[in-house]
Amino acid sequence: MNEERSRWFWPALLAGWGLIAIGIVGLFSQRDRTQPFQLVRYVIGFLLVHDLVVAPLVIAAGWLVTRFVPAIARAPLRAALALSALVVAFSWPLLRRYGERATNDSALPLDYGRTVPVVLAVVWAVAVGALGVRVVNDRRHRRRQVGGGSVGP
Amino acid sequence: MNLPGPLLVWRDRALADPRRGDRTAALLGIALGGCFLVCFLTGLLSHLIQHPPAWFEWPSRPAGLYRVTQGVHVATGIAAVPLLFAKLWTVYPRLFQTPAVRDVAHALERLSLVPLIGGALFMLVTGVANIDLWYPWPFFFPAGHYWMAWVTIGALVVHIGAKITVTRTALRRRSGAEVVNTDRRRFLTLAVASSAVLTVATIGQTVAPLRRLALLAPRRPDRGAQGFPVNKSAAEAGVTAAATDPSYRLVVERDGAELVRLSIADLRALPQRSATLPISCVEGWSASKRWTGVAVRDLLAAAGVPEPTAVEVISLEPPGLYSQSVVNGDQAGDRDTLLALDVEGEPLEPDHGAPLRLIGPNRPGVLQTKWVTRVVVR
Repeated sequence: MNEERSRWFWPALLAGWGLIAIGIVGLFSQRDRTQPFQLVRYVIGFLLVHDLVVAPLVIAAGWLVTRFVPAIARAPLRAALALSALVVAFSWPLLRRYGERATNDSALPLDYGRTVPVVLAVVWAVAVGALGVRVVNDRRHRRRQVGGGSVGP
Repeated sequence: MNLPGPLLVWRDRALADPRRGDRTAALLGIALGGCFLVCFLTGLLSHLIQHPPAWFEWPSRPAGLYRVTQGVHVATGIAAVPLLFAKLWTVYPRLFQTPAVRDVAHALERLSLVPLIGGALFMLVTGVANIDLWYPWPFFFPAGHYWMAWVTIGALVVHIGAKITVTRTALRRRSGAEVVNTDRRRFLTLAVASSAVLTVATIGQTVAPLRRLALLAPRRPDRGAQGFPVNKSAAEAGVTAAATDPSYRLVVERDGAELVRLSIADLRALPQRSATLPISCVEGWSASKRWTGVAVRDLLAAAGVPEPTAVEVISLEPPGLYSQSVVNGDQAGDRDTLLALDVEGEPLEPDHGAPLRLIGPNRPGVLQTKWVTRVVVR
């Protein structure tokens, strides 16, 4: 982590904070629309929710998988859990139909209570398939070892 | 500040994991940086088109260019969501690095992580909520999203300057023991596959052949009144009565003086022109339709303005940010910039802007003003 600084460090720092300043000045120049003090609460809030809630929960879930699931199933299970959480979080406003409009049926036109599970089913079907492939490969590998055949490369 | 012992143990173990190494962080960082750059440039372009400064005139051709740039903006933002979470998972143990700050430069670099990570999360969360038509915050989304884009891209520039050396070193390490790591490869594959899943499940809102796969899209190009989406309905805009009033007239004026006043029958008596053009929403959906009506330049000619010139098109809607739009000189001169009466051979329905709506090539949907009642020659 103790990396060497490049000659670009200070120019990038100055240019970057210059762009940040443009954004901040812009936020305040349209303060009636942007409500900068409210907005910054969301920016910091998203950061804190990630660092204090989401990241620890994901790490805890990973630890539980490592602790209680056989090694062969860990990778497909972790992948399916991560992607499922992502799909549900991404679809949450659709599932709850927050943006529904009484006089506009083209907004959120699908029954997301049905379509989201379809996506999740595909994710888990692929994960189960991957697990099956791993189990078959593992058995073949063991059989070769027992039979004294080559296991390489 | 001393960190608790178990946290230090976890951190050191996590940092030794190749999925959390410099190479993983570098590869994800490059992918994510590319996504944010694309989003920033396409977003900036959309902002310039909607709020053109004097030096900027957005052309009317190619007709589908805005559809592509804004479709790319939204699709890239969606694809970036899994990449951002993968990157944050990778670098999370570095949050607990000790000493927390080594010197002034390091302090500035770490301080820049607040607008970088907070800004990146803000851009993606608000962007996704916006396409889902969900606004659970007190600020106006376009203004907040636009100015925070500058903050986020600025913080990204600082981060690139700080990490360029370690990134180069990590990517150069192609020979040696660390070359192929199955865990890292699997992790990166998962990140890319997750992006692909969200992309495939949403891109059909603008790429019509993939619409049946758009299971997580907030719009479908084939759903809505007359078979395509509506952004704001006539009822939402409060124009249902005015839009269906038989006494409706279109007024063309210049310098406050009325040049011509036309009924629907008068408009239909003018030369009619048809063009296949997309409605391209800033929210990333689009739908191509065949529109028929009066070309703006023909209307101007009928009003005694022989040379096409910029006009302001004003809606029956109560005055607001999107109740009017400007058609610049180039667009007004395009034969396919229409004030449409029909779509796909049928009269427009009120939700699509009846009795008369603007539809021009290469314009954002939000500037394709509906329920047009006045055209002001500039």
